[in-house]
Amino acid sequence: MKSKISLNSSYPYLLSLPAVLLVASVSIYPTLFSFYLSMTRFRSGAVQFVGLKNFSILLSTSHFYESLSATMVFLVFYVAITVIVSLLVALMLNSGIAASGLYMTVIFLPWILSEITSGVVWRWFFYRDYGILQNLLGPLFDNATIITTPGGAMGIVTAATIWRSVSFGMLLLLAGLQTIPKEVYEAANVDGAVGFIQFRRITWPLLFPTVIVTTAFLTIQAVNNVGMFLSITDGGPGRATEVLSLYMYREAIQYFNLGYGASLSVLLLLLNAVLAAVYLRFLKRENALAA
Amino acid sequence: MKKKVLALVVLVLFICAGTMLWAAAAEEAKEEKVIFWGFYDLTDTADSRAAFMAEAINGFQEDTGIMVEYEQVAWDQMDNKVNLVARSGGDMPDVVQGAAENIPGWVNAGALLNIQEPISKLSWYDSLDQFEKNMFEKNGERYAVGLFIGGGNYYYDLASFPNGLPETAEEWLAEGARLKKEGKYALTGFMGKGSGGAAVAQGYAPFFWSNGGSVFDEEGKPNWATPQNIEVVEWVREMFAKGYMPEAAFTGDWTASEIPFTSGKAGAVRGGSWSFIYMEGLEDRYNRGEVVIAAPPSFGDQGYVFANSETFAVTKGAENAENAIAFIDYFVSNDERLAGWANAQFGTPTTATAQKAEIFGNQFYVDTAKNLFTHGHVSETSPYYNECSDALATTLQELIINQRLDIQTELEELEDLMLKLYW
Repeated sequence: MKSKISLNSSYPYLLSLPAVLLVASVSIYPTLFSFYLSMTRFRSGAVQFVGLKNFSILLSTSHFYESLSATMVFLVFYVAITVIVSLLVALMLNSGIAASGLYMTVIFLPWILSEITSGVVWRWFFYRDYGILQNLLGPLFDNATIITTPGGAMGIVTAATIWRSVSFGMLLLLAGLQTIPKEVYEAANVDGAVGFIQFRRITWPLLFPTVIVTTAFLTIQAVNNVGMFLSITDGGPGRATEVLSLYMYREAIQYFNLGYGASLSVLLLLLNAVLAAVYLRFLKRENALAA
Repeated sequence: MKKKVLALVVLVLFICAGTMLWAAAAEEAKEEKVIFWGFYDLTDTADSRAAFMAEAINGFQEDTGIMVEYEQVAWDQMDNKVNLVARSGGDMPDVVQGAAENIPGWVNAGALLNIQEPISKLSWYDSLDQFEKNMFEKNGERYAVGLFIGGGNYYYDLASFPNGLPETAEEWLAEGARLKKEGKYALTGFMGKGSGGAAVAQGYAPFFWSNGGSVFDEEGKPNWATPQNIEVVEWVREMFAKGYMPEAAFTGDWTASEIPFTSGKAGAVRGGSWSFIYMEGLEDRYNRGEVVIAAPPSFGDQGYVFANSETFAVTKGAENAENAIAFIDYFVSNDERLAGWANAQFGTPTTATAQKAEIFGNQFYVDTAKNLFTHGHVSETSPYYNECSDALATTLQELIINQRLDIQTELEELEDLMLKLYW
């Protein structure tokens, strides 16, 4: 009897063990190893333990704060604009317009292209003399090469990343919109609540949890984004678009400065964790209010 | 039962014999190959270097019976790849093609074999140019063989400079002001970040040398925040701020930086001896006498261009080290072949005997040789060459674009960071 109880109680753990082992090997172990790497440095193929020296160097250099600042600027503009545009597109597609399938396909195309391919195309758009967008927008910037100005370069990467991510945000929000019961809208119509009032009183409150989740996903994407920066500006001009993830990539992958790169990845993980915690808190508060 | 045992014994013997034969065949095959990482796409017949390399590889295979396993690695990716594979314990090739400045970093990563002894026994060793020996022989050790010498060339559009070609920093500013009125830039050329810090080696370093400054000290440590270097950065800033150099020079895109010259909007361009291959229309304009090679900008008594050498290096632990030496020998031992290879790259061969080849008598080579012998300066090396050059190129770009930044503070901070990170 005792052994049967024991078997029954351990059965769920046994069933989940393969998945736990898999997650541990591909996620938990590399994360812990990154913490270890962040306290080492490599010289001539040998590993030296240096304690917190990498963090001390990192936090004392202005490059880190420049990168953090570039990351935050990108994060705010990218997430805010992507959520707004995605919401507008989702509302449009949810309103039952004709040929919505065609629109959806067109909107989805950028998402299925690789980051590097998209990035290279966007860089070509802004080539001096040849770039179509450079020629169109140049007069607005005193005919400067837009990609060589710090603000212009950040604007180009932000725009390109938004162009790529709108479909992702739209998909999540559209799914959220479709979970709102039609009866609620019908009742609102009977009561005379239409248009923007309907959106403010019904759609927005019911969609808010999905907006929070979408924002959290986009935030994590923004903080970890390397490909678009690498392929469009390579962090330039100077370090104007060298966000933290690109800084980490450059140190770890390009210069094989694995310890320093790992210390950057640890700080990125903390940044992601803090931002995720903020969003979860929003979500919890919203759920509590709804209850 | 006996039959079963006998059958089993025969089967075991058969498997053993088969394994031994396979091992012997594999051993034989192993001895007859050399694995080579080179820059060029050998299927690109329009590229003279690729075509020459493909022909040379075929010739080597026919002459020696050693098969070449070729892998293309782009020139600006080779340094990363060799470092990555060496540090991660991956499979290295036997021979690697690289630029001279890559060699100390690869040695530091434990990637290369000291080949001083086998190379010094080869017939052409005594004929190697002293420039090559100064570059690759240090403390009785040699980790690469230089095949040809190339370097920076300043190309001038004669029609843009009716008052004579500018030489000093002041003359460049004066010509810049004059050309600006005509809607032209005075000078262009790659000054951006990326490409392994090439803007430093080819653009800034020669200015620093001319002004008495340097990039690395004798130990290969950064040596940037000096008054001489700061003066140069101020000059480049002025050239850029006043519109005498185009923004395109700072985009980080090689071709984009040359377009102002190829499209006739810039009076001069800093290129290389190889620019005949890459720069659109340059060879024709040069041959028509519209463009000339002349002295680089000077900050003191002497202007400089960087001089360099492309190399073949043998990797540490190479499975086919002897074949690797044979491969290098094949390229260098035959004067006609070495001269042909140098010519395909628009460089000068590294052996005295190959330098006598007829093709090096044409005007371009005469002018380039004169330029390199008069103004050529060997790039300083560092075990962290790429890391430091890239970081410096990036900071210099920031300093040029953002005029509010203090040059000395930024260079000091970067120097300090590099020392903390790598030494």
